[in-house]
Amino acid sequence: MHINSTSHPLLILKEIDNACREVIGNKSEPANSNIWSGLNFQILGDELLIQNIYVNEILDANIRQSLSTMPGAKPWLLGLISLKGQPIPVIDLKQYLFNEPSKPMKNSRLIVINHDDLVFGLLLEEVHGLKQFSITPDIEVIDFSSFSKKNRIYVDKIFTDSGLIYGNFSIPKLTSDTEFANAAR
Amino acid sequence: MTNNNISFDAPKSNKPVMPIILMGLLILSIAGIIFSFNYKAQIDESNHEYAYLSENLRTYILEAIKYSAESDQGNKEAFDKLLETQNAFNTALKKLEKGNTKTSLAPSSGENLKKLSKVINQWKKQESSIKTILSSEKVIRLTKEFTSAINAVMPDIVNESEQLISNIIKKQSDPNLIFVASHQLLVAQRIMTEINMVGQQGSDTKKHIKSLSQDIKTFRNTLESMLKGNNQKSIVKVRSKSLRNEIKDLIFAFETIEELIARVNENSMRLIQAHTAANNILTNSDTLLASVNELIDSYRKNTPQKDNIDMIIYGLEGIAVLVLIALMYSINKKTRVQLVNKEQSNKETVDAIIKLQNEISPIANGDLTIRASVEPGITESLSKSINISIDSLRQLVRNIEIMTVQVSETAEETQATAIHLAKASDSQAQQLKNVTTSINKMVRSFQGVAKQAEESSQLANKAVEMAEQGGLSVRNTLKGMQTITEDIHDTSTRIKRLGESSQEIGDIVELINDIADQTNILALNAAIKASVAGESGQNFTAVADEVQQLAERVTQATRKIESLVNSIQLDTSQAIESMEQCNTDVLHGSKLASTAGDALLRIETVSAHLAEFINNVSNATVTLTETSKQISQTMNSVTKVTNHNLAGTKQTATLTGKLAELATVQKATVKGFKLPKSVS
Repeated sequence: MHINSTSHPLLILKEIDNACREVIGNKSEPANSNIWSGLNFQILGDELLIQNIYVNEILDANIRQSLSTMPGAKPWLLGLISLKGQPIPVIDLKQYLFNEPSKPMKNSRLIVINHDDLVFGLLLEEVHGLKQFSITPDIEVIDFSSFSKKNRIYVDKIFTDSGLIYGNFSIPKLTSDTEFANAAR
Repeated sequence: MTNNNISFDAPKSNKPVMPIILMGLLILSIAGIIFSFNYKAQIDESNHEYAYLSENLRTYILEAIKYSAESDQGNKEAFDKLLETQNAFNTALKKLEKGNTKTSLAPSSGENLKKLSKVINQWKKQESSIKTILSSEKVIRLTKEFTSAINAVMPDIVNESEQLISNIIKKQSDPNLIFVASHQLLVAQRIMTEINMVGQQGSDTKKHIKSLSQDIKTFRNTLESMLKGNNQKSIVKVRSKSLRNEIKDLIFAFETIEELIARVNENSMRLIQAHTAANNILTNSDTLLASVNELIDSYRKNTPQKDNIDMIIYGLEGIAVLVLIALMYSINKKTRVQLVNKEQSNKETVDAIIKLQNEISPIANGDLTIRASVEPGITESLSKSINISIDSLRQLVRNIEIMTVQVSETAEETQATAIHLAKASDSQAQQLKNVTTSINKMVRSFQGVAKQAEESSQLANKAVEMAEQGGLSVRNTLKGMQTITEDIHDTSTRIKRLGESSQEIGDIVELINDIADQTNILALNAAIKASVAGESGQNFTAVADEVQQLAERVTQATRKIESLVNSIQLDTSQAIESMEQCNTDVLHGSKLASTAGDALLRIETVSAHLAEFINNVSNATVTLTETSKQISQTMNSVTKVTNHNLAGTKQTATLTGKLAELATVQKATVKGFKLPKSVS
C-alpha cells in the first residue's frame, strides 16, 4: 500500500489510520487468513467485490417508497431511509461513478456499509453473491487496466477465479474521497 | 147419312108386367129360404151347446169322484184338479141356467129348466162335500207326511226291538221277560199296519186311531216296565247295563213316533170329516149322475120347432119353382111373336136392295155418270147415301187428275233438287273426312301433350322431393352448426379459465420469486455474517452460500415458468381470439344455411304448387284427349250419317224419277173414269 503524499492532509491522516487499522484489523480477522471473502457485484461489465467486514446488511433494492428525498443533494445521493430507527443516506454507486442511474434489476441490492461508524447505503445494480478466495492476493503485480477508469480509482486488490478477474472496491477509498464527502450541489 | 136410322122396333103395346111380378115373387121366396136356413143353423148351434155343456157335467161328476178320492190320499195335484172341476161344473151350470151371451145361447126354459134346477140342488150337496175336502187339504197332507215319517222310523224300532230280544235271550233267561219283549215286536208291527190304515180312505179311521193310541201306550209302558220292573205284569227289572242302555235308546227313538202319532191324533177329527166327505161324494154321485142324464135327455127331446122351419123352407122352395116356370113361359111367348115380324120385314128389304144393286152396278166400270133412284122404304136412305158417295167420287177423280199433274211436276223438281243435294252431300262428306283427319291429328297432339304433362308432373314431384331433402339437410346442418357454436363457446370458456389459471400460476411464481429473492438476500446476509464470525462461521458460510445458490436456481426456474406462463397466456388469448372468429364464422354460416333453408322451403312450396298445377294440366289434357276422342268418334258417326244421307239423297233422286213416272201412269188410269161433261 502506498501513501499519496499530494493528497489532502486529512486524507493523509486517514490513510495512516487505515494502514494502522489494517494491521490491527488483520488481527481481529478470522484465524484462517488464507480465506478472503467479499460481496461480488457488477457495474458496466466490471466484476467488483466489497469486503465482508464493511458489509453490515444486505437489503432489497426496492426502497423507493420508504425513501425520503433530500432537496439540494447531488443526484447520486438518492435520499434517506430509516433503518431500525436510524436514518441512513442511500447512494446510487453507478450514478456516482458514471453519472448514470442504476436500472432496477432482479438482483439489485441495497448494501448497508459500516466504515468508521459511518453507516450508509450503496445501491448496486447487480449483486451476484458472496465470493471467497483461498489465496492471498498478489494485487500489486496485476494490471488494473481491465477495469474502467473511474473504477480503477477505488480498486485496490485483484483476484482471479476461473479466468475471471475480480477487483476489490475499497470502501475506505470511497469514504475518504472528497467528492463522495461533498454530497451537496 | 144423317137421320136415317134403320129400326126394327117391336110393337110397343104389350108391356111385360107379368115377368116383373114373377121376378119379385122369386126374389121374396129365395130370401125367405135363406132366412129360414139361418134360423135353423142357430137353433142347431144352441142345441149342440146344450148337449155339450150337459154332457160335460157328467164328466165333471166323474172327475170330482176321482179327484176327491185322490185328495183324501193327500195328493197335492188332486186338490188343484178338484178345485178346477168344481169351478168348471159351476160355470157350465151357470151357462145352462142363464144362457151365454157370447154364443147367443138362450137360457134354459120349460122342462129343461125343471131338470136343471134338480141337478143344481143335488150339486149343492156335492159341492159342500168338495169344499170340506178342499178346506182339509193342509191337514190331509200333513197327516200323510207324518205317516210316511212314522213309516220311515218304525222299521228301525222294529229292528232295535228284535236286537233287544236276541240280547235278552243271550243274557237273561227269564222266560216272562223274553215273552214280553217278543210281544213288543208284535205291537210294533201292529203300529206300522195301523198307521198305514189311517192314511187309507174308506177304512174306519176313528177306530184305527183309537187302537193306535192304545198300542203306543202299551209299547211305551212295557219298555219302562222293563227298566223299573212291574209286579202287576210280572215283569222283572232288567239289570244288565248294556240291555238297559239299549232299552233307553229304544224309548228315546220311540218318543219321536209318539210325538208324530200325537199330531195325527190331533188332526183326526178333520181327517175323519174329509173321509166322510169323500164317501159322500161317491154315494151322492149316482143320483147326481142320474139327474144329469135326465137333463141331457131333456135337452135332446125339447128342441125348439125345428120341424116347422123345415116345412116353411119346403113351402118356399115350391113357390120359387112355380114362379120360375111361369116366368120362363112368359118370356118364350114374346120371342115367338118377334120372330114372325122380323121374317116379313126381311123379305121386303131384300127386294129393295136387289133393285138398288142393279141401278148402281155401272159404277164398277168407272161410270160415275149414273144416279140411284130414291124410293120410300128400307133403301131410301141407302140410295140417298149412294148418290152422295157418287158425287164425292166424281169430285175425288177430278182432284186426282189435278193432283197427278202437280205430283208429276213436283217430282221432276224434287229430282233435280235431290241430285243437287246429293252433290252437296258428297262435298260435305269430303269436308267431314278432312275435319275428322284434323281432329285425329289433334287427338294425337293432345296425347303427346298429356304424356309430356305427366313427365313434367313426375319431374315436379321429384323436384319437391329434392327440395324436401335439401331442406332436411339444411336443417341438419343448422343443428350441427348450433352444436359447434355451443362447443366453441364451451371450449372458449375453458380456455379462458386456463388463462386465468395460468395468471394465477404467474402470481404464485412471482410470490415464489419474491421468496427466492428474500431467501437470496437472507442467505447473503447470513453468509456475510458467518464469514465475519471467523472460523466457526466458515461452515455456515458454505451452507448459506448453498442456500443462496438454491435461491438463485429457484429464481432462474421461476423465470422460465414466468416465460412459459406468458407464452401460455399469449397462446390462450390467441386461441380465444380464433375461437371467437370461428364462432362468428359459424354464426355467419348458420345465417347462410338458414337463408338457404328458407329458400329451399320456398322452392319446396313453389315446386309443390308447380307439381299440383302440372298435375291439373295433365288431368285437363287427359280429359281433353278423351273429349277429342269422343269428338272424333262423333265426327266418324256424322261422316257415316252423311254418307248414309248421300246414299239416301241419291236414292231419293232415283225414286223421285220413278214417282214422276208413276204420276204419268196414274194420269192414264184416272182417264178411265167417265165423268158427266156438264160438271167439268
